[in-house]
Amino acid sequence: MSGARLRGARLRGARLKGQPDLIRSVYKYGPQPNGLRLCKAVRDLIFPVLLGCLFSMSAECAEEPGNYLVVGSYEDELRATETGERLSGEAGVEVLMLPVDVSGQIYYRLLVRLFTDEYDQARLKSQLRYAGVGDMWNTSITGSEPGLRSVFAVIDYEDVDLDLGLDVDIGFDIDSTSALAESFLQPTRLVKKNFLTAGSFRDAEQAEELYQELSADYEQVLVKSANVNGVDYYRVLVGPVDESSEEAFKAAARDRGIVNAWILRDVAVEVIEPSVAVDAGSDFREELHNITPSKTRMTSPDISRSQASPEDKEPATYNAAKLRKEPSPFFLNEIQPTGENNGRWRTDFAGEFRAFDKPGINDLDRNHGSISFQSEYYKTWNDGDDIFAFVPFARWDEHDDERTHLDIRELTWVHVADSWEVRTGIRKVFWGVTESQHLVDIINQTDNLENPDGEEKLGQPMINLSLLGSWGVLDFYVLAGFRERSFPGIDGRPRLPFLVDEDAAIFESAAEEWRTDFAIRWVQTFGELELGLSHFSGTTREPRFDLQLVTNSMGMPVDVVLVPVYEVIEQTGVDAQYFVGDWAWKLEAISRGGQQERYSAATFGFEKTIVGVFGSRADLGVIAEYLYDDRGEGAPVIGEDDVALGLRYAFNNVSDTTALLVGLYDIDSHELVTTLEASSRLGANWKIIVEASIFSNGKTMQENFRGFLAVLANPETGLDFFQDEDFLKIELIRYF
Amino acid sequence: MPIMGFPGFVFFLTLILPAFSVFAESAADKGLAIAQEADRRNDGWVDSKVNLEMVLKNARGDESRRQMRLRNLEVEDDGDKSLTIFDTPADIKGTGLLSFSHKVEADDQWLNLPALKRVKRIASKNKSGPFVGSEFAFEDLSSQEVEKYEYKYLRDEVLDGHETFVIERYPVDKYSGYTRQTAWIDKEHYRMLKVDYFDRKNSLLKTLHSTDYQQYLGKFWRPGSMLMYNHQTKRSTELHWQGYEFSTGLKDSDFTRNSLKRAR
Repeated sequence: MSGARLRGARLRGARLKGQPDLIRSVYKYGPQPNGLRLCKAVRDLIFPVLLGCLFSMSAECAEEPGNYLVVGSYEDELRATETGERLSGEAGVEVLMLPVDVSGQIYYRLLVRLFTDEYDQARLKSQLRYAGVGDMWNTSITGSEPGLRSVFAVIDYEDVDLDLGLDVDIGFDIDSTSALAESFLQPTRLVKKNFLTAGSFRDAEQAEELYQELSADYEQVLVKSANVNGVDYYRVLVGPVDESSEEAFKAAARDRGIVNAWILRDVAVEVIEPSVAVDAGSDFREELHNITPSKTRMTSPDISRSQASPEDKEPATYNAAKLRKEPSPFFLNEIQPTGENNGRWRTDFAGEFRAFDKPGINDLDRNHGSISFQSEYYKTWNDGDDIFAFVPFARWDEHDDERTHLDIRELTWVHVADSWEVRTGIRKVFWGVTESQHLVDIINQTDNLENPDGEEKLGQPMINLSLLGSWGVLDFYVLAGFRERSFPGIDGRPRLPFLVDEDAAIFESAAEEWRTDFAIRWVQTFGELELGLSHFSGTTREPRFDLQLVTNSMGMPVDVVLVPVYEVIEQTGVDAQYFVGDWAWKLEAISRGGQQERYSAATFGFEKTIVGVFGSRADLGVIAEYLYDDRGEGAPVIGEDDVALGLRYAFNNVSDTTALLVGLYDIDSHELVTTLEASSRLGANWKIIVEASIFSNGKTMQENFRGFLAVLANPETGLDFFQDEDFLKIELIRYF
Repeated sequence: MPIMGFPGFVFFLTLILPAFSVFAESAADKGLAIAQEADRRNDGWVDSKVNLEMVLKNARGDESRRQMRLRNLEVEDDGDKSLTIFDTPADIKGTGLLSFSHKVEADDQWLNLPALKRVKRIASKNKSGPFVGSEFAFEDLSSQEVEKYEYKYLRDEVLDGHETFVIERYPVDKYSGYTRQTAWIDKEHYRMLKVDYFDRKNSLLKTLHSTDYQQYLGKFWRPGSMLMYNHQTKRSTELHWQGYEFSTGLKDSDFTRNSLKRAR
């Protein structure tokens, strides 16, 4: 039975809070051997005076000069003290408080001593941040600034009267005098011992609860109180801790669940001596030692999790070093623990600005601004077996009314089972492996207005059944409805010199845009080889154009209107990737029939990734592809005998900055398109994308009606119409 | 007379030599034994789900945070499968990474780019590259199989109050970014407490501290926090793991290209 507990019992009903030490001390000790009692009374008379002096001295005690980290600055001293105490507990370091006058206003700054070792410093900062500290900056102090004090320099620990059921704890009837008398007769002496702080509360009840919980596990469990600026803090101490085994003690306590604890040194405790007369003289000297201000010492930092910050909880329940129970508040509320993100919207707004180098053959505006918006609603249920997604998109363009458009990118329900999936609704599907062009990708119509490079797609209504097996993945598609390609209006750029009359589109199929198309695809992985085979049967997504002359009253052609013709095609495609070390070899090949004569086209190349290029963190990818179309120069596509070379640079930095430079070169006509695309995140919610394209080496033409007609009628037309369409695009996206 | 002459002598040696070898356990054997025991203690978790917050800090103190969800599947006789889905920052929301790690061969990885609806397979020799710009390389986060390293036991040491074995391990894969790693494994529970990473020039590159270990299902220890500090660039990355769940019923079909595509 510890002396502390007994004393607590004796104090029951006799707690005199706020009374001077003198009176309290009389009640503190009760009947004792006269000599000892006298010594103690004297001690308690004289030493509080000394104590007071020492206290006031230590309030301005000299701290170590040097470099410190400012971890907080408060106008309210009490708030500063509370925070300092909490930080000290959580980060396991000593915290000093320094009042500073800034333009007439007193701020209370919390300081933490900097480590000399950079690695330890980083750990300390991470603990502080985890404990909720935001900005930190360095300062240096002389150590003797007025008002500088350690937030934990608790000078005077009082024993606490825990008058809540403590008598039950004692285990014997308090009124039984024999046991009490026995204890009274036992001499006690004060010794200094080291203890581990297990908890710090402002509410005595909480302290007592913890005390009860731990009392069985340790030789001594104490509850000590300290009064800091009028507020009582109740600290639960466990121990005593042997100096030689401090780390082991702490580790064992950690395993028991006591985290964020620190060793409190030189705590004066009364120890019952077995009937040994105490030498009063040595007692005094020892007491003198005990009165010196005991500061917490920095123990080796531990990365430990913070509890909820005191602002979130009732002050009375806050515990600086407690058994870990609650989950970390670190995570944002929107993330469900390991659940799916259910029923949530994500939105982004983008502002796009395009600057064209020249007015071009159509003599159009050089500056085009536009804004766009895309949102996504995503919900799962049945533990992810059913998924619903809705993605609307809209763009408004400053000049081009055609480019101002709306689309539903996705409106889909996916049902997942063990070996099959069914996906219905408006969706987007991507097939293919190459970088410069996507021959095999055919399901979705290109959103030609967004970007002429063909990377953006319109949503396609479909029913898709996906079967999974050890033989690979087999997808069946029923494509309900057809989406026509849209073309820029009269004020849009880049565009052909003649407008496209979309309303007059000609369909081979009688059902026109209501035709149901079909597609099938199989993929399988064979070690380092990934293979895909596909077949599509339906209306082609890429129209060819019929030229319709517009004549004047005299029968002279004055204008040309391009009418898209959508034929029904059969396209078989194969795509393959083969990985060898850093090299990824890629192939896409198609054979298409139905658009006039059957033809085939292929893209073949590689992508090599150099990890940590030039000894840095960045990756450099080298891309080289050859584009072929057996229709030769007459092919109405860009890539009929072309080479694409590209460099992809990934900075691998915090902002995920990447840059891609691609040159597409026509071997026969020597036309060259150079494109640079770079993107980077800005802060947490913004992203910037910069894109520039330069068209060079095109044929010159007469920039009039006849000239254009001549070029258009010539099957070997390449990018002639786009020679003056060099542009720079900057897009800024904000995510919500 | 049984033991006579030279054949008898040889016979006699074969009886006693095994006894000698027990006493002459090499540092390599002991290192391997420690690694195997650590692996054994981590057997049988079946599958797990966890949330992860990553705090990236540069030398100046600027911070950047990422949040992601991880699912892992234990595979018999091979490395684990994992599916990582990013939640923040906003522009990579919904990006997913599927990874099949193997005992000896390089990992297979696929990246899902939701904006393009494209699943791109990553060249697998990229293991030494940084994972989303952090100080953790892909190989640091993929499942630590015993066969991926050769081992050597160095000494015993007390670290942060724990008795530990200190072992050195040498990556077997030539594409690894490290020549060697020094690992502190605690004796009581065989948890990895600290790892020093040495780069290709054999100079100290990074140190990983794993703390806040908690035990799950009465057997498996998982750290609550990890700090990777790069001594050369003074950058660091902290990982905070939360909400561990085990044996949640995940299957192979949850770790396929299809599941990668539909995860958001």
